[in-house]
Amino acid sequence: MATEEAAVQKLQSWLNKKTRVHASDGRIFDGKFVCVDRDQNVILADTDEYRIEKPEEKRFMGLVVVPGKHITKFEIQQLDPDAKA
Amino acid sequence: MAMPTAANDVTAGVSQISLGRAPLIWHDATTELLQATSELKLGQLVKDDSFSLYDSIGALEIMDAKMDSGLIPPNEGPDAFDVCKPMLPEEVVGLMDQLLAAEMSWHTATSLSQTVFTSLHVEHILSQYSKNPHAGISHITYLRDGEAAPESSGSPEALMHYVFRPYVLALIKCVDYARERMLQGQLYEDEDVSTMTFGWSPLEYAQCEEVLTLLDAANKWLEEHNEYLTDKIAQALQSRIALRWAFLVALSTPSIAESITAFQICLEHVEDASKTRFLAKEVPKAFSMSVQRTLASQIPPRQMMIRSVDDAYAYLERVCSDMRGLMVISEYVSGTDLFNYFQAFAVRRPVASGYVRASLQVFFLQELRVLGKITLQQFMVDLITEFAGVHHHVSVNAPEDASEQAVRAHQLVQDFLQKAAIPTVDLFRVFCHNRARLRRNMIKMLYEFDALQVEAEAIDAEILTLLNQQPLQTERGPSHPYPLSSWVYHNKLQLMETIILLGFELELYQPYEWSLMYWYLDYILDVHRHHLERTTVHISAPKTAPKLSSKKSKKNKKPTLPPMHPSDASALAFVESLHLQTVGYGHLSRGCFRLTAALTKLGLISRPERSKLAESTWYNLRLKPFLRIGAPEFVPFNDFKSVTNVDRVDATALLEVTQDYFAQAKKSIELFTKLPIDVKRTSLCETLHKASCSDLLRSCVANSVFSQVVRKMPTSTIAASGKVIKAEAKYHAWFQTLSIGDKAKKV
Repeated sequence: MATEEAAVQKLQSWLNKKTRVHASDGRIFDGKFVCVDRDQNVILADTDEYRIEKPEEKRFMGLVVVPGKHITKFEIQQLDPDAKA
Repeated sequence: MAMPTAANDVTAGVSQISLGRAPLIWHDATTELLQATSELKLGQLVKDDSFSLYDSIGALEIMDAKMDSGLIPPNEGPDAFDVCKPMLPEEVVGLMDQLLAAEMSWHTATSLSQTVFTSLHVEHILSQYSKNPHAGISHITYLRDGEAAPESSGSPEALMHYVFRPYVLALIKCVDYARERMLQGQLYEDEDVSTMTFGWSPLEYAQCEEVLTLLDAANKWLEEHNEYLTDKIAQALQSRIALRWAFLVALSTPSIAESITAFQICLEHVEDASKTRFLAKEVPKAFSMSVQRTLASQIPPRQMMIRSVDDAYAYLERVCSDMRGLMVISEYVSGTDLFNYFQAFAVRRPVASGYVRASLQVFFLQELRVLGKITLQQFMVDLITEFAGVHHHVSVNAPEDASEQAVRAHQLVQDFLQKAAIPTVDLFRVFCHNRARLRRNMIKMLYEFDALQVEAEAIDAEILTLLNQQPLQTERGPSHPYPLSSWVYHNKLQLMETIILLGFELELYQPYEWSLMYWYLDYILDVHRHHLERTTVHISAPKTAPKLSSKKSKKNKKPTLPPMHPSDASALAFVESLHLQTVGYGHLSRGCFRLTAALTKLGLISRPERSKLAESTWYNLRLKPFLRIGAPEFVPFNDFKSVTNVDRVDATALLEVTQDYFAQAKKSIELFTKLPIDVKRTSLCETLHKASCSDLLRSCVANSVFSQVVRKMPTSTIAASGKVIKAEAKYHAWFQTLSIGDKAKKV
């Protein structure tokens, strides 16, 4: 029970943060993390999509669901904990 | 926000502003995500309270081909279409036609992402331009990297650069101007127009003159280099360039007169271009859905929807001639003539293109002046005077009599004109909407006019006290003209009639509801007829006291009446013509009511047995728009039932009476059609008006014949046949032709 609570808290702490999801076909989705479920299906809002080999060619897609099975990498934007203040 | 955990102490609770100062990194949380989500139960979601599953309905699912436009194969690899490759002259002709087809398809409210933007040549230009729209167009070409502009000689490269490139630039600019006009009008996205550009700029900042100069140069090039092209091909290209030039001028010029001339020139070139269609060689690979993977789009991928080139030329022809037709309104004849024009415009088939309808709305009201010249207040005074006759206080000019009462009356009238301005403008602009929206919006306007009528009555009442106006003695007692509210009421009744009739056109009513709707229509028309009679009585009443003749001879003691003011005379003639029309429609409705009642009696029309709604409920539902209206009074269900009870009348008798009514309707409508144009105020739309009236007559005759046929059918055959009644808008959309048909087979 405690582990479930801790898990939920961790996931909730990521809500509305800028997130980068890498999909299995090489595309990258940058968006605001708004929802997730048990199968790692992730919903992102205000999403931009681009291909890793052409990062300048990004386009706006809006609200997007990335199925968990297609996620190769999941990144959250954070302050660099190692940076000097 | 959740309570900070060990891993996120640093970020939790920190505001976005301060984040901008510290270096941001991407923290790989993949394993953390896996671990954390594995603790969740099936169906459990972690989400913000403000995000609901309802919001997620519009989410695009990645890696699902139907939803994810990023999965569309790109135009890359060995099979890719190379837009920089020069094409054969026949292919250039074909491509120009295909591009026109895409453009015209967009005009029919199909999205740019399914039409013009699917052209790889357009994509090549716009993807470059949109990155830096203010940098101009001179560097955007079909030349390969590092390639210099070809010499202006006869060669495929020169053809691409000096002829094809200007055509594409001009076409995109045409889209830009058309879109601007569509946005200025009040139309519906996806229904009438499609203005989304998905993050691309259709050469918004490119100068029109620059593009026109390029087209001129293209024309010259074609004239000078016919050693490379055959005469026929050169002609084909020239007519297309000229067509594009004229269309661009027509769409871009702010002067209405200049644009109308340009549309005329465009029409001439459309003819020329169509004749050379046979030379075109199409290039299907130059269009692809692949553009959708690069467009900023929150919608799933959609199929390309480009019509045939022949359809496109026909459509362009209609747009040009419709736009020229709009010119007729620029000479202001009268408010009512203009209103009748709008009504006729809405009825024309095929329906005018979104661009044309937006243009009509924009031409109608320019900077708060009707047709750019008449103030709204004067326009409304014209409309009121054309209906209710001359009333000296109904004017925008300050009264000559500077008494307190006259000044106050004048102010009250200005207040009314202020309140009525928006409903009046809406009354015109609504005719530019599509038919379904027209009916919905008219219902909304009905409530506005109802409220306006109440205010107008109060103002009329106050004014007649202020000006000490004496009532007219009529058979029904003393009566005042009430010009303002009388005009509002007339418009309100017209709205109610149109709402009912549009329901027939839009096929909203089930067969068992037809008799109800025709009966209610007759009720409204009857109220309207009385209102018009009342109005004519007041218009014809002498406005000033009759003067005694100056000769005091004993023979000449009769006072002479002053001659009628010409505006009163024309208002009287107009209202009498409306009266005739209302009578005609009334007879038609009565005929149709009795016809459908007879058909119900014979069992050819029946309510479905499965219906669980009480009859009174569907009555109130069907007449819902009229429930809350103050006047005319809503007819309650029980009253309707008792008045329309035909239990004691047999079907044959009903059908006989039906024919009488149709005969009378025919007479009235024929008389009405023959009235002079200036009486009916159809100077801007007489041809359409005549056509509409003759359609109505045909429908009337057809239904009359039908009622005879039914009358003569033996009742036994009817009951046993299992047939149903079908309605068809064969002649007129509002009074549809009835016929007997077979029941639709259940699938």
